[in-house]
Amino acid sequence: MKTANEKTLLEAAHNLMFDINEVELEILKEEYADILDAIEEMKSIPNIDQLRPMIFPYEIVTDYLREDVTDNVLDKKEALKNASKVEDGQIVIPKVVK
Amino acid sequence: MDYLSKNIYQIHEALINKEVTPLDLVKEALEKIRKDTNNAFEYIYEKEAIKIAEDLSKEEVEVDNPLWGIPFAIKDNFSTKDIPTCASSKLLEGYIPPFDSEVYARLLNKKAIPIAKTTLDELAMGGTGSSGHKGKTFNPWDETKTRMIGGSSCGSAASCAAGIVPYSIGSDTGDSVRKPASYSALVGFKPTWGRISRYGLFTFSASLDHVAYFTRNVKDSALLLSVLSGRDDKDTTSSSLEVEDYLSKMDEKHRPYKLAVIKDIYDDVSDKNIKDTFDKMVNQLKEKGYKINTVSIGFDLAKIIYSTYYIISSAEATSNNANLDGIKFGVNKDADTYEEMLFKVRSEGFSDRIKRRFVIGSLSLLEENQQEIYLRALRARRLIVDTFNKILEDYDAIILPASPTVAPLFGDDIPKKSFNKDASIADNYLAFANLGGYPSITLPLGFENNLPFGVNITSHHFTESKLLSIAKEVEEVTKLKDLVHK
Repeated sequence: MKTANEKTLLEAAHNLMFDINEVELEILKEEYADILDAIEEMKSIPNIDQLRPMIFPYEIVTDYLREDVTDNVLDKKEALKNASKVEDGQIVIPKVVK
Repeated sequence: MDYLSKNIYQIHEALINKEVTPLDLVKEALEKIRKDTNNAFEYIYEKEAIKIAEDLSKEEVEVDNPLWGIPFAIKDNFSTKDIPTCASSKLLEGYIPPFDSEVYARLLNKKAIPIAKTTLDELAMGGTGSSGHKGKTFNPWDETKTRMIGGSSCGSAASCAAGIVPYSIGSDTGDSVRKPASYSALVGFKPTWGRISRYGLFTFSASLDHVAYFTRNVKDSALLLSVLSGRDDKDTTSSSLEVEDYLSKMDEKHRPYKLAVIKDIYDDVSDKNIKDTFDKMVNQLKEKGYKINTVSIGFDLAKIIYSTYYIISSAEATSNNANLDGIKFGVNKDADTYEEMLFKVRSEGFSDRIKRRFVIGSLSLLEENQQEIYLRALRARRLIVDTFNKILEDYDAIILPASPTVAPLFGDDIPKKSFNKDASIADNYLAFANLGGYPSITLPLGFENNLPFGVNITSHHFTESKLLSIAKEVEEVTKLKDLVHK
């Protein structure tokens, strides 16, 4: 398991596409260390690892299939209106291949 | 005349009797918003609300529709077509949703009048009401402006508590409506996960997010549940179970109700006044025939409720918010490369707290950590939920103080860390109802130095009628309802 060292934390932040300053890194280090301590508390509960992971709050049975018809569609103009740069109906970002 | 400090039914009565019109109500709300000093609002519907009210004032009052013509506020993480919505995040400033959330659409359909979008902790992640891009939202009950109202639904709580709207919509992923309700003498209700559609609610943590709301009494809560609950095909997690007539069912008594007080949580409350007031209420309920027992879940299990919640919610939040890149919507930044642009947008757009949450969530999902952190938290979730399910099979509901203190002070009381391994059990236990998806309601219990504190009641899945019935009896015992700070 990854420990709470600065390199790990900074790497994770950069993978998430943001930077984190030195002061924040210190708080994050403490917070992650607390999480790892909390994990130890969980581990100390007998047989916890024999349980099945629980994703949703209760068992859900979904048998809903909608009809195969177009419904509730956002039109192109609406979908693009919040993008900062649009040309010819497409969102513009910096060139990837230059 | 101050109509908006009344409850929904009282205002409805005044509309029927032609004492007041929707336009009068809107003008009263806007005047109060102008004078408000609690920093509760993101967007005010100045022109839009007046237009709706003018149109409604030409119609007859719908006597069977108590929400008709009455202003409400809604948290700024619900999509509202053509109305700016930023979830109090710098990154989303200027975003205008192209569609309505289901909850909002249902209220508009009832001809309720939206008056404001309200502040929240950034992206609904936080419990202090201080991490949004507009800063702290204050508690109307504290005139010194030094205490929080709690979060993340801080603006919705403040607008209802200050008498600006008789009800307001929020969301509750850990306790984001039920805790602020405790700090502001309101009823805060989170129905069963799946009972109300979440279509158009900005996702924080899909397996824990609930639509929730504030009212000033239990009856108004039952009314809103009748309007908002029910299957919505746009939210595949919404339930197809029948929507009950909560208002009439709430009055059916099935005594003696059997309630459980969880010892390991109750014992963690150190405030004597809160404990004494709670004990007094318990005794009064016993006199009414209630059977109330103390049940232990074990200190170790009570201790991991918060960490389990924190790990799961952070992991889900990391993934759910990966779409915040400033490209399709949100604040964009100039840059030479796509990667540099994303980096700038997210570095400058997210607050430090949000970044920390995302890093922790991301680390818990890494292949080398997943078994140890994320999956262990999911196993802990099962243990917690199995334990509470068992209790709720034996008892009609669990009853506890909703918070171990009155509204905390800002300043030193805002912890730098969002997660603290030594955090109080009684201050963080409400998340068990999110882990289990149970209906859970907070209502006023008492006052300490003129600051309110609440009681929380939680029951089994889809037993809202019973829960509201118990809550109504608690309300009769405490005699605390329709409270507004003036």
